[in-house]
Amino acid sequence: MNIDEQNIIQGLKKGKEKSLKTLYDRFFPALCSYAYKYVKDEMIAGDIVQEVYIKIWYKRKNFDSIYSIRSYFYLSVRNSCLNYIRDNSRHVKVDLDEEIISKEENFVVEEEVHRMIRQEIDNLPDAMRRVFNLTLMDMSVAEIAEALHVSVSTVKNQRMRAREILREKLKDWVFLFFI
Amino acid sequence: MNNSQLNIADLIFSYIRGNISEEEKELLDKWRKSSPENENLFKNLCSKESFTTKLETYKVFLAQSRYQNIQKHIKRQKVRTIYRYSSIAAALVLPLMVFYFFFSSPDELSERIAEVEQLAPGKPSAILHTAEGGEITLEAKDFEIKDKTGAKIVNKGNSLVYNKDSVSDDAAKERYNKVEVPRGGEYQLVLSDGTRVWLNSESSIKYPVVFKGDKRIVKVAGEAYFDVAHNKERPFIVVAGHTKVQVLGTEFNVRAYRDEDFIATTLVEGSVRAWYKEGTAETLKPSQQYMYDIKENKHIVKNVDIELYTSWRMGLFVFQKQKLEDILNTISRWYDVEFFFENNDVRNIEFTGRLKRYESARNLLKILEEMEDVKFRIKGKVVFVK
Repeated sequence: MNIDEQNIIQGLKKGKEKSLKTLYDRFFPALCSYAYKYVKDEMIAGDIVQEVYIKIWYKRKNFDSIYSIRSYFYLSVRNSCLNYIRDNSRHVKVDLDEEIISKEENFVVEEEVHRMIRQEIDNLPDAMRRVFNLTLMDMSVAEIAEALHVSVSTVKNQRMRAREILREKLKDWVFLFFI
Repeated sequence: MNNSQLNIADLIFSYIRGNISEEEKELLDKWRKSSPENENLFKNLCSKESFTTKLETYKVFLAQSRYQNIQKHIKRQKVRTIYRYSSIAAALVLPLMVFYFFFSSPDELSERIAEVEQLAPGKPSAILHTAEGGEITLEAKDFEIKDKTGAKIVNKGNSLVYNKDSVSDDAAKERYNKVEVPRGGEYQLVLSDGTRVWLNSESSIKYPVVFKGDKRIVKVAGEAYFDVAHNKERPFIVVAGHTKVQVLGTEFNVRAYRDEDFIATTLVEGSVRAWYKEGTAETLKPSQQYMYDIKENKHIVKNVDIELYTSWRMGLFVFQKQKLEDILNTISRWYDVEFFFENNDVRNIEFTGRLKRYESARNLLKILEEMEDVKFRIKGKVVFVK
């Protein structure tokens, strides 16, 4: 656990709402994506994860590391999803079927790896991050320059620097070499 | 199950990072080989497509803006400490209201309410303070006057134009004019060097009738947008509060309202240097903003979406995830009305949108009501919010 993560834990224990916001920025979309795999409904997924955050806040004194929070996040979301499916088995479109039971083991692996990659990208300075994300979406340099109201050379510059930083941090993310 | 899955995720991430150890690699390989699903997942996680697809999914969920709700639940815990402040606020408000009702007859009251009910938007109306100390109202009435230096000052439509071609007296001292725009107003100027200035509500600018000397200096309070005439020999400097912005020939926005505790300079085009008192000067690039925090006594430079900070000039309100409180502050200045919160929870609701500024406040408020869970009740120049 690095200093950054230590600060979040400490802040949480002290009741600093800002720490919860940081956890929201980092984990919320990934957890929703995870919940969605179970409940197959975007709003329900959001509801479930929202409740888990509130639960985390009330239990904030119990977490001593970012790993225990992460564990609790995924466990709690899964439990709520299973409860939801059980309670709504009559009118929900999809219930706890074979597909989920056999594949759910890897749901967490998939979500967590993507989440950690995204976090690495989110650590980039604003301008670089924006340019990089738009590049991922296959936008051309000219299109990106237009969208962000900056010059083409700025885009090229930011892209190059983002690539350099990410190559250091995510060495074996093969596709980086194709961007 | 949970922890072993998280361990695998960490192994894969270490691999992607490029700092996986020998033992870890063995564990990872074992997992990959144990089923074709695992191997497929691993290959997927190393690809661009699955990540970009995931980013799209993330966007969808982030758009739900759930943090507000989470915050609401959390703040309920802290309710006890807020009581003290609420009771003070209530005590202050009451006497004013009582006064209003006691000293106006019911007929007068309904008349007054009816006439202001429309909440018409600000008309361009400003006041020009001349160098001699005179005051001229700049209604939408055209006029032409000559300053003592011979400079011609033309008021047309809602803009004031200075022309130095006819300057006869090249006297040593600079003579200053000041334009003040009240709440509910807006005005434009063209200074003697050709620099164009747009003034927002509750703002003022003090400037020389004709620029002399090696620097062009103007003083601003409130909010102003500049399109500075290019002149390499004479840098243009804007003084706002204790911050100064120096430009060569560019477009930028300065915001320094007395009731806000920050001063912000946003650069649209060109290049400027901004600094506070004797602090470090920062050079801004287009789309960058220099923000000085008066309370904390420090400044930051950040990249921004310029539309959010300069759209007022084009007659638009553009806001992105802005708190209702702040939005109503701006509306209050432009329409010269007061907002009173009957429900404190709604202060922090965030809005994102682009609205036309010249529509009457009533329409604007109706649109806001459509966007989020908030209700406005208009009573004369006061609007109750809940």
